Parts: sequence; structure tokens; C-alpha cells
Amino acid sequence: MREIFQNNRLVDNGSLKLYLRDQNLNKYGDYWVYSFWAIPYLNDIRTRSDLPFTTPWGCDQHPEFMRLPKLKFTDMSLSDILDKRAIEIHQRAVTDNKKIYIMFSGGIDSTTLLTAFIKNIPAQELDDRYTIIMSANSIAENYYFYKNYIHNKFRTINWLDLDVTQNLLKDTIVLHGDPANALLSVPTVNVITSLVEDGEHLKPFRPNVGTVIDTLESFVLKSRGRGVFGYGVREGWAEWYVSKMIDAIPQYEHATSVAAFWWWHYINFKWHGSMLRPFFFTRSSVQDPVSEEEFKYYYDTCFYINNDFHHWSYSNIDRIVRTPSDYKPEMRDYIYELTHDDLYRKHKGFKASRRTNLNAQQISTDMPLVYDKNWVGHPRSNEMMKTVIELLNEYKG
Amino acid sequence: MKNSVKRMNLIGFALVSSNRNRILFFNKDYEVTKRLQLYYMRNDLLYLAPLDRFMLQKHLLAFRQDPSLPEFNEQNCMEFTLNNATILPVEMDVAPFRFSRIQIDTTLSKPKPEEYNIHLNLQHASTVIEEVEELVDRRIQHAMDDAQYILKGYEMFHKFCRENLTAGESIDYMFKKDIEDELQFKNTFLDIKRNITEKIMGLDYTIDPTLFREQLKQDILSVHETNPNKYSDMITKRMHTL
Repeated sequence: MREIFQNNRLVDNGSLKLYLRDQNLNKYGDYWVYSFWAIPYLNDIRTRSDLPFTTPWGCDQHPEFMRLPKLKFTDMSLSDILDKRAIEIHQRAVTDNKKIYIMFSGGIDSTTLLTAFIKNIPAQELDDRYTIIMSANSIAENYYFYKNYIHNKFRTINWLDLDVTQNLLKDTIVLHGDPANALLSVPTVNVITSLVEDGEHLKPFRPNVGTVIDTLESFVLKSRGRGVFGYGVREGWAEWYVSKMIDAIPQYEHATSVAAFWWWHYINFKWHGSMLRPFFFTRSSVQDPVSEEEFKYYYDTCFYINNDFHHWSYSNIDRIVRTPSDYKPEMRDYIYELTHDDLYRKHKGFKASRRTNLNAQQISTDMPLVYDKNWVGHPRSNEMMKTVIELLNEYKG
Repeated sequence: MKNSVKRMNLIGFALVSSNRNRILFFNKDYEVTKRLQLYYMRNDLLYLAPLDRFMLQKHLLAFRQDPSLPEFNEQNCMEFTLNNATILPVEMDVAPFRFSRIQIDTTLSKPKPEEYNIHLNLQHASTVIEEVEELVDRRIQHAMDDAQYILKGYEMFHKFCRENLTAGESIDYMFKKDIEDELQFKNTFLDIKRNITEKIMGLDYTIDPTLFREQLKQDILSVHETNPNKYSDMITKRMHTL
């Protein structure tokens, strides 16, 4: 059972928390589990094996190609990066003779992605090679874009009919809007919201580590006993957590503000999970493996995952975190250049994509607790939970 | 006796053992009693009988004659009845056994331990079933309301798209898939309810009450925790506090 957790692709911490609510683990096991409760997006706890932040199921074994790129400043505009990335992926599809599926929710991230291809690729080439994966909700979310740029122009498939298998990945590049939210905007993190009003989130990070710890601790204590925070937190958790984060993520050396610290934290622990979403919700069987080769190809062609986006992100942290209410202005402008839809540019608000629990029946029967290194899903079971508890009891922080 | 007088004196409903010599459960609410009877049917037959004060008169007298007993109320009178089985003519309510009247036989024997277990376990189950089912029902109702609202939205927007976009099968296909999925989502709740019912019907009501409570808790939890979704979380939380 333990080998399943070794080299795993992802552990569903979200459902672990439900099971482990009343378990009496050791101090570090409790700290670890509590992290799932307190930080909802902490769904992909991995680091490099030479760094001190380990997981109960062993250190990270992400393949080399999935590591974050080295930091570098860039002067490139986001618009140039988007154009460049669309052309690069299109050329790769032509060279490798692959089709391109674009998942379109109507939101800013996926509309920006699709806009990049419409702007940069000749129309006749779009007809042949491209398919839009969407739903009726996508039309509702961005009706004018659908009407003018998709309807009767692209082949469309409802996302419920998409089946991401090894065979599909062999001849198709699957593109989606994740993790643009983590890279290109202010993360939607309610933990530090209380600091924004007085501008405390813009104070230098290092001298204000204490503020981050206090804010996190008070956020957790305030929530204690309510909703998901029914689980009792051990004192000192926030200090442990923040110091672990600082040790684990070298980029914190460059965090210029409290908000920037949280921003890096978000990037590190959200981006993997979100860019892997097609593997969770659009596979008819989680028993069919996906080879490392196909997975690497998927990763390499993940639209928002490349050095340019990361460098742009890093170079613009201070501006991005300064005004959380100004949500993705560059992307709005980028779409506007094509559509001249001022309504969308001015008023499009944040809205989660089509709810992923819509297929609740499928999720309840098929959603695995852990995906192993071959992307085979393993469901929850008593034996599995026993193993998790053993691993957590052995965990020494 | 006039029906109105009967209604005034009605104190609740009982589940009577299959050999009609014990009242095993009493509740003021017909629905609670009826539902419990249906749950229990896989184990054995229990008759459901409406009880009024006149039917308990004999017990009432016996009860009052015993100074060691607490002040009379329906519940402790029923307890007394359980422990002192005697003739108790009651009207039958339940199909498919279409007796018009039923009489509880006199045995004058103390109840067997398993009978007492059944009595306690039924009482406990009734509380839990009511609470859990209320939560599930509320969720189903919520989902139904939500679904109706969403389906109406789909219908209106579909109509709008048909009128405003050039004809194309892709529009109809998009809406058809989404609506099917919406309905499937709603059915999930009914499945949860069905699974809980299955579990409750399969329980052994004769076992020790402590064991029974734990078994019932674990069985209901197993339905939710093996199939967790955000809607079952509240039920799981409630069960953990039992």
C-alpha cells in the first residue's frame, strides 16, 4: 500500500481531512493535517528532495521537468508573452501533427488563451486543427465572444464528452486556463484580507514575519469550531507552518512584502494542482495509466506553464499585489484588443468555472484518494486510510 | 365513540410485536412510527397501532396503584406497559395486514432481554433516522429547488440562443448535455437516501443497545464517508457528535 504514495502525482488532501478529523496523531501529524483544514488550496504539497519541507508520504519525487524555473527579471509585456506562446504551441502541433483542444469556460484565463490563438494563427489553420471544449455555461459567461468567435467557426465538444486518455494525448494537445489565476493575478486568499485595508500587506516581509504568523493564527482561531475548522488546532501551528514555508521555498528570500510572501506560497502550492485538473475531472477511467512520456508532453504544452509567464509574474509581483481589486487588467486589455467588448473588459468578475462537483455521482464513486506515478487512481478504503494514518504517525515534521 | 373524541384522546402510535404481546415502541408522531415500522420489516413484522388514553386505562390504573412509580405521563406509562404486558385492545392501522382490531395478549411474563433491546434500539434509531433523514431531505429539497431554478435558466437561455444565433446543432447539444448532467447531480441525493435506508433495514435490532448505537453510527457514516461530497459533510459531522 505504501508504494502507491511513493512518487505519487497527487494526494487528495481535501478528502483526507474529512477522515482524519478525530484521529489522534502526533504533534507533527496533527500540524500537517491541520494545514489541509486551514489552507484550502494546499492541495499539492511537494518540494524538492534536497529541501527541508518533507511530506508524510516521502519527499517530493516530481520529475525534473516539473520544477519551478529559475528566477529572472523580464521586460517582456504579458501581451508579447501570450502571442509568443500561442505561436510556439501551434508550431509544435504542426510539427508533431497534433490536434489542439482548448478548454473554454468563458472566464478571463481561458478567453485570453483562445484570444492568443485567434489573434496569431491564420483562420484557415484554426478550422482544421482546433476544437473548443466547453458547455452551455461557457456561452452564458461570455456570450459575445462565443457568438463572434466560436459559433460556427470552431468544432465544439461538451466537456462532459471529453475523455483524457493516453490515446487522446498521443495525438492531441489539451489546453486550459490553469494556472493563470496563480501566476497572473492576485491570489484569492482570504487569510491576509484583514491586512489589506490598512495597507499592512505591503509592508516588507522579513521584519513582519510575526505579523504573518499572528494573522494566520488569528484567522485559524477565529474560524475554530465553525465549519470545516471544527478540527482542533494545536498551538504553535502557524509559527511551524510559516517557518516551514520559509525554509522550503527559496523564493521567499526575494519576497518584498507580506503579500508577495503569500503570493509565492500560493504559486508553489497551487499551480501544480490546478494545471493537472484535466486528469481529475475529464477521465472516464482512472485505471488507465498515462505514461511519463505523454505526461511530459502535456506538461510542456500546458499553455501558462513556461519560463516567460513565471518571469513576468515574478517581475510584476509588487504591482500585482498592490491592488487586489484590480483583477487581471492586462488580460482584459488583451481580449479587448480583439473583441472591443468594453462590457466584458469593465465588468467581468471572478466566477469559478463550471462546478466540478456536478458529476457528483462519478466523483463519489470514482474520485481517487491518490494518483500514483502512472496516473492510476486509487480509491479510499479502510486499508488506504490505515496506511495514511501510519504515515502520519511516523511523520516527524 | 365519535372520531373527534378519539382524536382528542389519541396519545400517539405504537409498534406492537409480531406475537402481539409487547409494545416495543411508542411515539407521538405517526410518520416517525410508520417509517420505523417500514425500516424494521426486514427483521420482523411489527404492527402499528394508534393508542389513546382509554386504551391505556388499565395500565393507568395499575400505574397509579403503585406509589413507587413516577407521576404518570404517556412515555413512562408505555415503559410500564412494556414491562407488564397485559391485554391492550388496539386498532390496527397498518396495511397489508388488514385486521380491523388487534389485541395484545396477556403473558404476564417479563420481557426477554432481546425484546428490551429491540425496544431501546428502536427508540434510538427513531431519533437518528429522523435527524439524518431530515438533513438529507432538506438537502434534496434544496437541490431540487436549485435544479428547477437552474433548469429554468437553461431553458430561457437556450431559447435566447436559438433566436439570436444562426442555427447549429452544437447549441442544442451543449444544452442537452448540461441539462442531463444537472439531473444526474440531483439523483445523487436520492442515492444517498436509498443507501441509508438499506443500511438501517439491515441492522440487527436485538443486539446490545450500546453496540447498536455504534453500529448505526458507523453504518450511516460509511454511506457518507465512502461517498463524500460537500453535501454529506453536515451529516457526517452530526453523526460524529452522536
